[in-house]
Amino acid sequence: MSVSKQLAIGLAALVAAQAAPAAGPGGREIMERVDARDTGDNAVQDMEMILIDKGGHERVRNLRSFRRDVGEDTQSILFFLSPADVRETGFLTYDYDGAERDDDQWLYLPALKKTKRIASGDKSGSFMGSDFSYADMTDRELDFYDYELLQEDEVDGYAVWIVQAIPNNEKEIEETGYTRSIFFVRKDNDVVIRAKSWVKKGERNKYMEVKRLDRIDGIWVPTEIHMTTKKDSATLHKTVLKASNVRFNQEIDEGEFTVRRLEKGL
Amino acid sequence: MAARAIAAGLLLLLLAGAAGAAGAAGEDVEDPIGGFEDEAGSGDETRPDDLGGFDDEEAVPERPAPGSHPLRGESWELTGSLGLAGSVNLLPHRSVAGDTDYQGLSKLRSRLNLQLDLELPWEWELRAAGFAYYDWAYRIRGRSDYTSGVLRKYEWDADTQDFWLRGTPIERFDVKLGRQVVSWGRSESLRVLDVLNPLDNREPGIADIEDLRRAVTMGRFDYYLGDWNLSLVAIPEIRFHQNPPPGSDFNPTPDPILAPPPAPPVPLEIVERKPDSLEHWEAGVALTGIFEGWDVSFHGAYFYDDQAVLQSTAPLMLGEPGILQHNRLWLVGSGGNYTLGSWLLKGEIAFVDGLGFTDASNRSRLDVMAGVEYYGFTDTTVSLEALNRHVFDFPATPSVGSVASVAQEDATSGAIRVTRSFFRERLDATLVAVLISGDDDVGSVVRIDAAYDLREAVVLTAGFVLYQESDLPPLSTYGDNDRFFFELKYSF
Repeated sequence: MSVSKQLAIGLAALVAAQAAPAAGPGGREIMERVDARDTGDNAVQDMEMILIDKGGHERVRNLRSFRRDVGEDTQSILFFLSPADVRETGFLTYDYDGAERDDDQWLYLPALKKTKRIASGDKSGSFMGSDFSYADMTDRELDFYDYELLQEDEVDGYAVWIVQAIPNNEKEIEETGYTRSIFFVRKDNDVVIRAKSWVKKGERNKYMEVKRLDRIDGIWVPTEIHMTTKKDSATLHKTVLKASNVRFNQEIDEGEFTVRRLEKGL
Repeated sequence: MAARAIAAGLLLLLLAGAAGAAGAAGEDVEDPIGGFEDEAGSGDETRPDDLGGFDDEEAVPERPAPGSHPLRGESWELTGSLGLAGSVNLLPHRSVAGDTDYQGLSKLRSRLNLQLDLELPWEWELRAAGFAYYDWAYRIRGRSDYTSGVLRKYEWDADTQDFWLRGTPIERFDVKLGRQVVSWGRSESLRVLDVLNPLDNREPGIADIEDLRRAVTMGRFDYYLGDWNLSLVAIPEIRFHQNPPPGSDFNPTPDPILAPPPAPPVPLEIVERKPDSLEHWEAGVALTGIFEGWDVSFHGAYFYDDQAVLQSTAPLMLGEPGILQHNRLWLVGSGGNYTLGSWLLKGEIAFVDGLGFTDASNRSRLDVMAGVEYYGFTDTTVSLEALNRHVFDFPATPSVGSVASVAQEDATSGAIRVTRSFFRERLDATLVAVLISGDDDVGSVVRIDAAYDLREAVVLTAGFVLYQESDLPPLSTYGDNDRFFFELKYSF
């Protein structure tokens, strides 16, 4: 084979390589893997939320949470341990799979000694005053987003996919408050270790970062997450969420996720 | 040589084109994911700015777990709160009885709440909770300016709020014995099914919500089966509403009450007949079903009217004591919730029989409440409720001293509640307005307050209560009772 012919073949290969996408999953497929990641049939954990304002002042919330999967649905119950003025407040959620089913939620108010049913409203609202919204605390419907794999990169020595997710309907934007999100997904374990979201109201950005990731009972668990709200480059507020005493696949009776348990407390 | 040069040139062109295409794509990537700061250790000096913005911080050091509370042991926990609450009346007004000047400081109360929780064997629990307060306002203003009834009811108080034993003796069967609050119904502001516990009405519109219901000794037995719960309540302790006494600016009754004309104006004696606990019981039953998107409950109760009614005016005319009696009432009713997106629809209906009137007759009443709550606004909840009470065969001369529920053939109430959080739930603002209307009259109580977290477990609450007077009891003397109030509370 002549040199020119070899060069031509080489050029053709080079062009072909540039034109065709790299072999590997696309954005949707990556997020499906994230969604399908094993998180255990149930989980128990203690959570500490440290709310830090721009002046550096801190407020701390301690909670104990229980979660179990019921098919594609998720039931969770959490109790506030501190501060003292919210202790014994409980929150029960039945998170149903599918957009057509509204979540069921109940709030136990110790001052009233009464459980109150509430509607699952604006999920863009802050969870307990933190930088996490209710949307951040629940699963999002994959079908409500258009995904695009932006690039591959490395974070803290781990190879990641960077996937952009844009809501494909106005209702999802209104409910979650996000117009766009970018997820950094570790290739080795499908864990989202970073995320950046664009908040519709106030032209802010939220940065989520997993600072500590542990493997417990064979399941990867973010045990420390930082969520920072910024406007341009200025930090407005920050929340540190730490999980401890994490246990999976415990013998938890279904009766632990009922109004009866909510009213009895821990 | 020429062919090699042409091939190299083509190669260069292709490479340049590819680089240009990548650059264009990179610009498209940079734009949506810009704003990120460079990350140390990423090893990619060419990462677009939009991927930056993350703080280069380490994990936060461990803190003491909440279990290391000084008032907590292995099987016990002592909690509570310490508070200072006050109110200032804004307008000049005097009480009907005692002619006390109520403008200015009306409350300066220091209060201690304590709650002891014990874990017992076989997963039983014991709770003992109570409070005590002393109101310094009476000493500051001069105790002699107040009637003995006011000093007795307001100057100091102590009571148990919870004192019960709870356990599950067999599967799906819970037992709770002792002083407790059982709150039926869905309404937050209007009472239809919520009849088991009497209320503390001494400070209308101002009382803390946790103090509104008076705990009563009960035996509560709950059985759970699937989505259903059957609850039986036996109440051997008889307690009634605590109402403002004569001499309070919330009580329109003169002291003494003088005989009406044509009788000579001699003081009348009014005796409240209260049934003895243990000899007279109250009872309730509720069947509740909780389902996806809705719930329903059915209720029955046999109980005393918490509001006493004058049996007859005839004895008063003869100079004999008038008897205030608490009638025995029957209630059957139902309530439910239904969620629809961000909306919560709720309703209650109750048929009450046995309401007493001064013609010694008993009447029945139908109470219907409908309400809606909206959770679609960020950090905001809006609630609207409307209630109508209709008395059947309404007598021509209704009871003297009865409340609106029996003073009108039809009494309509409405309640609006708006709550909103600010500064990441550091500040909670609430507006509650309750309107009561009769034939041609409307009265209201409006409360506006804000609660601010000064620091962990320290909350400062301040607000106003505004009263719109009407001829409808109990608002007939409230018109000038507008007040500013505050509370500083430390919880532990």
